[in-house]
Amino acid sequence: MSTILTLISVFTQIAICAFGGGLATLPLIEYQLIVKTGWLTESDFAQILALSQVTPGPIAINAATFSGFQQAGVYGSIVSTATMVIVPMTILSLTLHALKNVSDEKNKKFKQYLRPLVSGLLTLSLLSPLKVTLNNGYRAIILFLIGLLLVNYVKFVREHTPYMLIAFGIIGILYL
Amino acid sequence: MSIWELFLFFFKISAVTFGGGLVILGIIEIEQEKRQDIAPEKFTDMISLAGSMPGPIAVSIAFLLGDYYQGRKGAIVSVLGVILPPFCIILVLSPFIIKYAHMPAVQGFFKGVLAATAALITMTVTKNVTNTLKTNLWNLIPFILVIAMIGLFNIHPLVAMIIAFAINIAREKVGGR
Repeated sequence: MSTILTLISVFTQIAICAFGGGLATLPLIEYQLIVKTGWLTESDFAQILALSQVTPGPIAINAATFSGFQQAGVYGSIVSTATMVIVPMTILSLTLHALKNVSDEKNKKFKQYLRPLVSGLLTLSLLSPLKVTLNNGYRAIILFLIGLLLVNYVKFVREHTPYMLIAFGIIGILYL
Repeated sequence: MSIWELFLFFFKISAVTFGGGLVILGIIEIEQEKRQDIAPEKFTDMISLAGSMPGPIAVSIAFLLGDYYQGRKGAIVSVLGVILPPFCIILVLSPFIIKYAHMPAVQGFFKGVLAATAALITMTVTKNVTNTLKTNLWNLIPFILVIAMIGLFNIHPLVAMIIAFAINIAREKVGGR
């Protein structure tokens, strides 16, 4: 029971701060699941990130479902996923109610203030996959560098990233 | 769209779309342009609102569109449509992943995917950060504050964000653009 309550508390805290979409949630998930609860190691977390990349759906939902399952089975995953959805949707519908009095100008201002914070969160989201890839040996680093070149210079790859993810996964099975 | 159409619309998009919320949002935009049953300004407002609210963007946009077509019921059904495919897929995969996580082949696969992911995130982040700083160089202060507080000092993200947000407002009130 206490695990379920912790899951609700953890994912409520993640959801409240989850401005700026999926990637920006990663440092929040990291903070709650690695630093605060100690449920995951850095490489567990990297694995969840990789998993969410090769399955459909928002990263935050994928992470909630998987780590919920890991901590408390099917109930855990239902509770975590539901929390990750219900909390922001409650905020959203309260805002919709209040919004009749809020001007478009104010909404724009709010977003403008939020922008550098989201950029900060995004930068933090990069640290974990980079750190773990660096620890995965020189072949993983070479693969990462090739990936960088591909997404920057090959339009097809940039527009069809799932192919690259799967291809790199297969290369990983063979060489990493 | 009827309730059932809303559910199917979001279920289908969510089930086949990889790469998270922004990609899903892009596809919803394309579909919406084809349907033409919602005013473009109204739709832009929804995207803008979804972007300034916490939570997965795909979920927020499903909520808003569902609410637009069919009220509260529509909102709930649309959100369910977006959530169910990824939820079921991860739920089915989780036990296997936990059981076989230590196998070299599984680890290799994830290591490869992670290298690709790191490359993709690097590109997204670089673009985002450059744009943010180009728009206004003063953004550098709250940007670095967030990174330092959460990344270096392990301050709770909510606290860190409130502090950085307040400083950002104060900075504008005091002077800088």
